[in-house]
Amino acid sequence: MNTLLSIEGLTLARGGFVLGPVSLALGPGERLVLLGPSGGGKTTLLRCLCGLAAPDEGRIRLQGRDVSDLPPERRDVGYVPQAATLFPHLDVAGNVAFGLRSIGLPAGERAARVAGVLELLGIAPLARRRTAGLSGGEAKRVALARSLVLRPSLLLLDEPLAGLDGRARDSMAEALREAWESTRTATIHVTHDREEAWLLAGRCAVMDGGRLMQDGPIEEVFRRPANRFVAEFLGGGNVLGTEGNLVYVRPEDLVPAAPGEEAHYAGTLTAVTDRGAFAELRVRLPDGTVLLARVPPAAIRGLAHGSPLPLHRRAPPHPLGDVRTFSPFWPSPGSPAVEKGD
Amino acid sequence: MTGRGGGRTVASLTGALLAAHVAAHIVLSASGGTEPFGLLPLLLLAANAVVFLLLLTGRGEPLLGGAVMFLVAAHAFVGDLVAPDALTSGAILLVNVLVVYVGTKVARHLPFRFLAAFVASYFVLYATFVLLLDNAEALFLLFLLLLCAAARSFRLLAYFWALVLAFTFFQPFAFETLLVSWFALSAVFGARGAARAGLAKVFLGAGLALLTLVFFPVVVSVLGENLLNVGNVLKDARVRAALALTFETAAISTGVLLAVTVPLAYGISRLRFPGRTVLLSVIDLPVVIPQSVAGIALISVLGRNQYLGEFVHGLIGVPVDNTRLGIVVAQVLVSLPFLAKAAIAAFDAVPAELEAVARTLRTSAFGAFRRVTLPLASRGILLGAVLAFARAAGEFGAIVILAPTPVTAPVEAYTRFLSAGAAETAPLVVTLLLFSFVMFFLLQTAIRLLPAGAAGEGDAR
Repeated sequence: MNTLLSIEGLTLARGGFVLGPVSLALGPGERLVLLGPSGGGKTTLLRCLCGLAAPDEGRIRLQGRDVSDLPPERRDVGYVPQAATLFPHLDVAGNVAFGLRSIGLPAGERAARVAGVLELLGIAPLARRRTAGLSGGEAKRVALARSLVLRPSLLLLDEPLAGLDGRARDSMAEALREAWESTRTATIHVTHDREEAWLLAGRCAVMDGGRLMQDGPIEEVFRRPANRFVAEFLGGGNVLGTEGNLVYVRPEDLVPAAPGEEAHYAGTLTAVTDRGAFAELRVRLPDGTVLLARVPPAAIRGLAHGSPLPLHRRAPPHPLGDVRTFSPFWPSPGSPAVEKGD
Repeated sequence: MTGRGGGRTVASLTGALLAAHVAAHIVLSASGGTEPFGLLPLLLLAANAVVFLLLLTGRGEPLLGGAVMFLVAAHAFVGDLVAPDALTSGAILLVNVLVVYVGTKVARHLPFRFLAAFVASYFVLYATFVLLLDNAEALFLLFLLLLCAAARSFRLLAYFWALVLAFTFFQPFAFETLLVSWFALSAVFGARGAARAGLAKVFLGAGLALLTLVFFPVVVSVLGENLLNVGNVLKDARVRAALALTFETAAISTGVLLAVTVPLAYGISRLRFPGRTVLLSVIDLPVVIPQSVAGIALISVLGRNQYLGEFVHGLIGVPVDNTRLGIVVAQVLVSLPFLAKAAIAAFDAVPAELEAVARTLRTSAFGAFRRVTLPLASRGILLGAVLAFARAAGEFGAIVILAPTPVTAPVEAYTRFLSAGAAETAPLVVTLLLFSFVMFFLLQTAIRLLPAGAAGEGDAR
């Protein structure tokens, strides 16, 4: 399988922060969610890819071409920053046509391309609007259209759903999916929100402290985190055992033990939170560890704070690796989820 | 909330007033103080009786009625003593009845502070025009009428007091004072801001009052000048030549400055480099140094028989001193900070992220500058250019040392002042004032009316 983008040993040090070394590969038309806490180097990585930041070391290859030293305008990489940063002196159509003017497309063709992409993202009625009056979701769509209209071979989206309210967020996610389905542009989404990761794509790379922690299909990353950081960031806790011998118990795998069922853990119920679609139980074990269980809302009926609660584990615990030893190189999409060790 | 008890109290109060009126009438007539059955006292008595009946039947306002009866009674018996004649006395009575009427309206319909301001105004007017000034009763009455008209709004009251003060205490410049103070008042009262912007308005008012002192001479000299004289000045060939030269050299200077400072300002705005702070201070230097010093510094480097001056002379065949070139050099130096600072601020206000995004849209660095940064900074830069142009056109100190000829307008005004004195130069001064102000105002307005990003892009419309 061919590779569209490959990043090899990319590092960048700025002040106290060190990005990388990061190695990563992306296939044509693939979608990757880059997930991690704020300040983890996600945006810096994107800016290295689009040429707005210069890495200290490492190579970036795009379609077999080494683009590491090319300026942004010669990379064929679209970048949509977190704040939409539309050009305030141009209207929506002017913003979207900006790059097309730069590559010297004739006016007629330019107008057709702009109309096409506005239509695709459902913002055609906004074409003549000033950017100042746009809502957050509209502005993000215009910014996306402005990059997409150039048909880049790689599209970088920094927090495309951040700062939008629930409905705008869902419809923006839908727009992103539709845009991807009709253009099949390879895309990297950056987000710090694990729920957004589910909304966006199938492959997920987790990043923290400037380094990749895990990379694989999203179900795999959530179900079988590679190390303690990923388990705690995605699962919300439930890391048991001692250093070097850690295991992860998915909150979804824990249920109050029914009579006759094996009680793997016995502790005291300290908190019950109904989150609508599911409920969360916190159970303090005798050694002080607090376990999190995600159960159907119906399962919390009759449970009282402070009462003893035995928990049944429906799947075996997942062993965790060491944070330091994970150094992924992802040669091609579709390979098994987690590769450990060098 | 006047209950029946309150109404009865007021009715008996007016009854007492009426009884006192009648009693005083009888006593004064018996003692020969007034004519016993004179027409006026009897009429007044009858009027008071009518007012009393109206109040008893509950048709009038008790307070107003009582006060009017009191006024009428008081005037009937003491009016002759304070007023020089019966006509004045009657006028005072009528105006005072009006004052009482307006006062009760203000008391009933507006917050207490309006009544306080109204009453205070009344007594200040009384103190000023009756006690302080002689023979000013007529003015007192006239101003009372205006006060009554203005009582329902603090804004009108403020205009009223500006009028009174201007015509009482700033007599030779009454109209000028009135113009300036009404302008300041309309700015303050017209000011709109957040819901509780009271402090800002007070500061605005205080600032305008201080500013007024600065602008007073300008307003006085402009309003005091005959427009015909201004027309005559403009017919003078010397003046016209000086104006044309000033305009021409200032335009060239501004062009030179734009070419030099816009790239420089962009670099300073986008980069951090050693010596940046020093450079910013150096740019400000022409504002700080006296213009005469700047002129002497220039001529000691660029003048005749100076190395650099001779070098330039040899290079382009034109000497620097006493030529247009010298004028432009002096103008460029003194107006540099105005454009440079404005351009730096304008570039600072354009987020670098916009340029970065433009770069990812297949746009070169220069393309991003030309199509994003420059349009967004253009308004700030043009405003700076207008300021620099005005500064260049107004430069005197450095020019009079480096290049007193050919003669620019400021130099012309100065030589006229030296040879003919202030009075003879006044028309020219006013002409220059008006010329500068109108041009400056028009240019600034024109630039402010530009859309934020100057022109958009070709097919965006």
